Amino acid sequence: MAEEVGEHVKLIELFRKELEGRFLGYEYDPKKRALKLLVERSALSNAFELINRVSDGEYHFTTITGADLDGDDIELTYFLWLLPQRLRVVIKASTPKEDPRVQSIVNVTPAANLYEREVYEMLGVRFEGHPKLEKLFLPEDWPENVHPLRRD
Amino acid sequence: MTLPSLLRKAWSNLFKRPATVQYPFKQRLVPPPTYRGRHVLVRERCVGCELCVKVCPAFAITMTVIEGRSLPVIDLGKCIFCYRCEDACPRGAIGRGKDFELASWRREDLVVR
Amino acid sequence: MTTVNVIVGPVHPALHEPERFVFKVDGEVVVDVEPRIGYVHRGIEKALTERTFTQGLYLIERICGICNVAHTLTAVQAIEDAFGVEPPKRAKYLRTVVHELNRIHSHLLLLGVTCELIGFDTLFMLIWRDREAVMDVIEMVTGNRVTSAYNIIGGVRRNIRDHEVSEIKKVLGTIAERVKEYKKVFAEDPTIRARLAGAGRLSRAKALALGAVGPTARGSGVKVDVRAEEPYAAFDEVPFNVVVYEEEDSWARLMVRVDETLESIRIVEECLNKMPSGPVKVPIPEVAPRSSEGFSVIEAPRGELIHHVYTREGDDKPLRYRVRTPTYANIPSACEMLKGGYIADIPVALVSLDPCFSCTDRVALVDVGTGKRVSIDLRTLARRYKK
Repeated sequence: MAEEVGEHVKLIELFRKELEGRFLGYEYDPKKRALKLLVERSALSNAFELINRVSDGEYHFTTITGADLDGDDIELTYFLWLLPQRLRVVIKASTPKEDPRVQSIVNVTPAANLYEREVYEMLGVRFEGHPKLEKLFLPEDWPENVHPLRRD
Repeated sequence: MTLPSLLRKAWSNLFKRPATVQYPFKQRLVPPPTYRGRHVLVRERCVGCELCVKVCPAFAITMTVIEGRSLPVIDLGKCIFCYRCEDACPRGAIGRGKDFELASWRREDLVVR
Repeated sequence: MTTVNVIVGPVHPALHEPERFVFKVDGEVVVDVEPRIGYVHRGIEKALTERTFTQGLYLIERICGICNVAHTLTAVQAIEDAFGVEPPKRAKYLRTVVHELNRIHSHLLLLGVTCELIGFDTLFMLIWRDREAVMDVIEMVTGNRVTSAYNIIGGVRRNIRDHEVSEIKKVLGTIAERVKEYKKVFAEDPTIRARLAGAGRLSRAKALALGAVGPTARGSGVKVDVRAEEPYAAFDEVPFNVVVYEEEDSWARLMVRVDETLESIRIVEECLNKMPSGPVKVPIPEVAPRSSEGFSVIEAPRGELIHHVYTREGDDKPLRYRVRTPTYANIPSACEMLKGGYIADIPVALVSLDPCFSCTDRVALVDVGTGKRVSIDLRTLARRYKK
């Protein structure tokens, strides 16, 4: 158990070292063994490269949640599971509503493909570098620029 | 090789009673007492507190006035049979019933008074 | 190389739920796949923000008929996480019992459906007859065969009585014997092996990279089971084995499910033996006591299911509700496993990942353009209550 308890500390230190100012904070829940990391949106693909390195590619990508929290930003939450460390990692980044662009992480994590498309169609966040950013669930004749989960 | 064992079972099944229940012609099905079927409203116990109306997730219960008292009416067309109304009632006026054969010709018949 | 486009779906005898796949084929070999999902899109995520937590729970239960317990369990755990409420121990054990009963019936359903698809109708009927016994047990415990309405925020709704416990044990004892026989049939029958082995190949590396979950991943050697890694309900106190097969094909995925059924039967018996006494629910606040978020991950019969909820203090409705269902996660893996195979392997591969597209398509819709809304409702209403 001891090495698992220390794993999240190592990850926090790595993020702090490699991302410096773009690493905005963390929160660890020992009961759920879940580590929450806040980063700036420009640091997303670096963050995923770090995760890839730390887990030797053995990580499971769960999902992306996009949320319009009635403010000026849209908050993106990425859920991951690291197999060797047996740790749930939650990476959060915010993007402003006027300019909702984020780097796509599809090159690092192919599993994110469909989730990025869903966040794009529901909230209008553009994932730059995504090979095929188009609608997923909504019908083809849905009007452009109408994003269902936005509150405005 | 398990082919023979399944053949043996299939052969012995030929002589057993079929598992198919000839419903509704020969056998009627009776669900257990915990089954959530058509509601049973006990009018005497109702005090008109309207907790059932508030709690219903499908907005299926409305209150009407019958003989001067305010009593609930459940629209089975909207009801999802979750029975939160039974949980919420402080007097036990809504009870569980076993009736599940609720099809009817007219929408208006789908009410429980 | 000229390729021909073969379109499967949206309504097709090999698929149990609507989804359109466009296959580019060269002769009999599938070269590329493009899925088109969204036919059963019901706007649930948006609808949940307009209902209170308790009302929304019943909508969540109907995201999927087969795994309704999984959805309600994840939902109440996520909301309890956000509210900071802890359910009593007895409730956790009862939740586990019903959760595993749900898994048994879901796996038996799929095993039967696989047999029906490959033409082995006798086995399909035998397995479904045993499933009926499990459905009767579920009806006795929760009040209904399919939509159990058993989990609530803060615990479970009903207690379980001693005669019910002995009935469950009796039924499960019979089922366990039968499933062991079926396991031998699946493992050794030459027809089943010829049809399933080698169909729908998914390598371990691809399974992990594309985010496969549940038996789809475990049939390819990825040893991840949420019940063991992030234990919830009573799984931190009830030991069980994680079932993994290395063959990476449809046969492996099927065997994972057969073994999981046997494991589930053991888990239920163990929970019933160890059941602690105490209350089955705790009182909960009517409105969210704090602005926070909660998430809960569980192992639904089809894989890893996650619900993520944002709450606002003083509000009785969630601010944002996100559901990511296992079949949704398995779609990229599905496309990968179909490439390079024959057209005849398509239904086998698809059914081996246990597709539940009513779970997949539940994302949000808004009331813009009434014309579109009506057409979607008519289609989805026809397919609303499945299985």
